Formats: sequence, structure tokens, C-alpha cells
Amino acid sequence: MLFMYPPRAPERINGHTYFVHGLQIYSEVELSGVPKNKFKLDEKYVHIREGLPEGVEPAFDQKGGQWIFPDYLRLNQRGDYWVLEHVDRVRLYVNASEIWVEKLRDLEPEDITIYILASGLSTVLLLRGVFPLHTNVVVKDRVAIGFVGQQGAGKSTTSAHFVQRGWTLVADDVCSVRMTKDCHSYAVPGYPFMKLWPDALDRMGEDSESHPRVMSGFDKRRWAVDAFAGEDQPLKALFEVVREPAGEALRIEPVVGTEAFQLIASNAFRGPVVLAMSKEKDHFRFCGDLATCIRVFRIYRPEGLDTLGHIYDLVGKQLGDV
Amino acid sequence: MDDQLKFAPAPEAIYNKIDEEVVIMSLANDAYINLNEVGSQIWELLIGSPRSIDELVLTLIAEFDISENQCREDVSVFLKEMLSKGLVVTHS
Repeated sequence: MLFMYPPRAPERINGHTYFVHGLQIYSEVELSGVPKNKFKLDEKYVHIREGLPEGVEPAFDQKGGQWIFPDYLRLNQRGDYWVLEHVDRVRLYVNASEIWVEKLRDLEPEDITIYILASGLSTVLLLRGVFPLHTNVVVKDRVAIGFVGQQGAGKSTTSAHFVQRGWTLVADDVCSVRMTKDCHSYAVPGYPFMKLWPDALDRMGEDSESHPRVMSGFDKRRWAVDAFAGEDQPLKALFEVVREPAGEALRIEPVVGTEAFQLIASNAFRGPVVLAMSKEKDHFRFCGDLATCIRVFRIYRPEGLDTLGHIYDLVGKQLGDV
Repeated sequence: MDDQLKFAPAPEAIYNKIDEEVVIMSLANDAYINLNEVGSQIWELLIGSPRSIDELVLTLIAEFDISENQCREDVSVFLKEMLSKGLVVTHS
């Protein structure tokens, strides 16, 4: 069964409708930077609202659960809801068709947006049997590629460079991937902005100060992108960005076999949540299927942002074979 | 190890084959195990039907350029390791 509860049609249309990660969303909480979408909701929409689900006491003393990120994000269960708690900030109560937002302190609208877009919607996707990747995806001429890598490796900077070079953004940070039985995979559009550090924006020729912060107290800025994919795009390859010391040669190498599988599996968005929900078996199958259906490469990137142009050229050469 | 004893994949082991390599996941301990070419070959033989060491060795020496003694030793070591990880069970 995909849905815990049959969603109810909204009683009053005083919320906002959005379409993110392939999910129809009816939200009584406005999502900053996400364009509203006028469409008729079907029975599978996700309902987002403030407050607590019925029967849950406010600010309960959440014992147990497990840390997803120590001292920052904790996961628990309360009745039929998975509870994601960003410590001292917000709790999200999530099932396959609802997200309830319990604020633990005053929060700016953009803060709530990021918590919903990342923790909230990714959990809904998992509950619906979809395993989002931690990746930025861009597309050109119906060839979508994703960049993965550890924090600080440069995946966002690299994908932003591609957007500046005329590619279209599909997803930032989180990307839902849809696969068909005949081994075609599709990257599902997220939202039309990227989260970039100020120095990366400045080096791109953008004035970082003129871009709003992604969250209060967090330095990353929201870079709104006009060229945004309106529909699912054929995902052809993933590129892992790995930092190398300055002076090493920039190079791209294919990653094949079980190493490709491991690369994909290790770039699940919120991998610990997959385990906590006991979905590792389905995730394993998904990663195996994806590794069979797309190409995987590793970009060895020496220190220094001036490698971006060379990365662009090298990736282009690899895509000739994709 | 009894060369007549048959071996089979453990029920809680699931696997993916990517290119010519096999990766196995043990649901018991959430571990991923990558198999090399020979290991992948042995695994696929076991998937087909439970096999004894003798049967595995016979098939492998027909496929690979390896002596029977070396093959028998390698298969024994492989099966012992897979048994210890709970990925293979003995089958009567």
C-alpha cells in the first residue's frame, strides 16, 4: 500500500499548489522561491500544513529515535507519522501524503521552505518507494547528467557552471529518479534555484550580496535559475566530483561494475533514513538497476575554480559516447 | 570442508549484477560485498542450483585456465568466507 491515508481534497483553496520532485503539493505554508502551479489536484497530492497531526501532543519529549546527523537532525516515529526533528528549530510529521510543520521557534519563511523541500519531501518520496539521489542535475538536448560528491567537492559549483554555459537546471541537491522496465531512467525536476556559497557566486560574476540567504544564519545564497526543466529528462550519466591537491592532473575516468553501484548507493539522499525505514532492500535493487542503465564517471578535480572550463570540455567529450 | 556438501545462497542475501560483477547485500547486517570475477562466477552457479565444491570446481576449471588444486583451494576459501558472513548456507 502506497498511502497511509486517503488524502482529502482541500476544504478551502486558500493554500498554494506546487509541483516539485514529481509530487503535486497543496501547501498552506508558502514555499519561498518555488513557483506556484495552477493545476487540478489528483488523489495523490501531498498536503502540507502547520501544526500537529490529530492526537499528537505539542512539543512532546521525543525520546528514542536515531540521529541522522548528530545534534542536528533526528528521526523518530509517532503513530503513523515519521518525525524529522531539526533540533530546536522544527519538527516535520510525515506520512506518504501529509507533512505537518511544528515550529519549535520563530522561523523565517525561507527556513521552513528548505526543511520542507529537503527533509519533508524526500521522506514522502521514500514512503512512496522513490529513492532520491543527493545530486545536482542539468540537461541539454535531452541528455541529463548529475553531479555527486562529498560536501565541498564542488558538485554545485560545477553544475552552476554548466547552467551558465547554457544547460538547463533539473534539480539541485535532491533529485528523484524514475526508471522504466526497459532501462530508461529519468531525472524528475525539483525547484528552479540552486544553493551556492557566496564566493562561488562572486566568481561566476554574480553579486552574492544581492541574492537572498537560503536560510537565516546560513551563508549559502539562493540563485534563481530561469532555465529550468519543466518535465522529466532522460538521465544518462552521473559524475562524481573528487577533489585532488593542486598540481594534480584534471581527468575523468569511467566507473564500472560494482564500483558504480557503490557510488550510486553512497549518494542516496539521507541514506540513514533509508535504513531507519527498513527500505534497504528496495534501495539496493534500485541502485543496481540504475548502475546498469546509466554511465558513471569520476572527475578528479585539482584545487582551484579555474578548472571548471576544462571540466566542461572533458565532460562534453565523455558525453559523445553516452 | 566436505567436498560433497552442497551450498546455496542464503535466503536473506540479495544481489545485483552490474556488468560482469556481482554485489551482494546481506539483510542481516546491511553490508555490501563486492565479488571479483571468479567470485561472481561462483555466485551465479550457486544461484542456478545448490552445488558442491566438486561440482563448482569442475565447472570452473572448464572455464578458467587454473589447476584443479588451486581452484579447489580458492573455492573452499570463498565458501568459508561467504558462510562466515551468512551469505551462503549449506544445502542438503
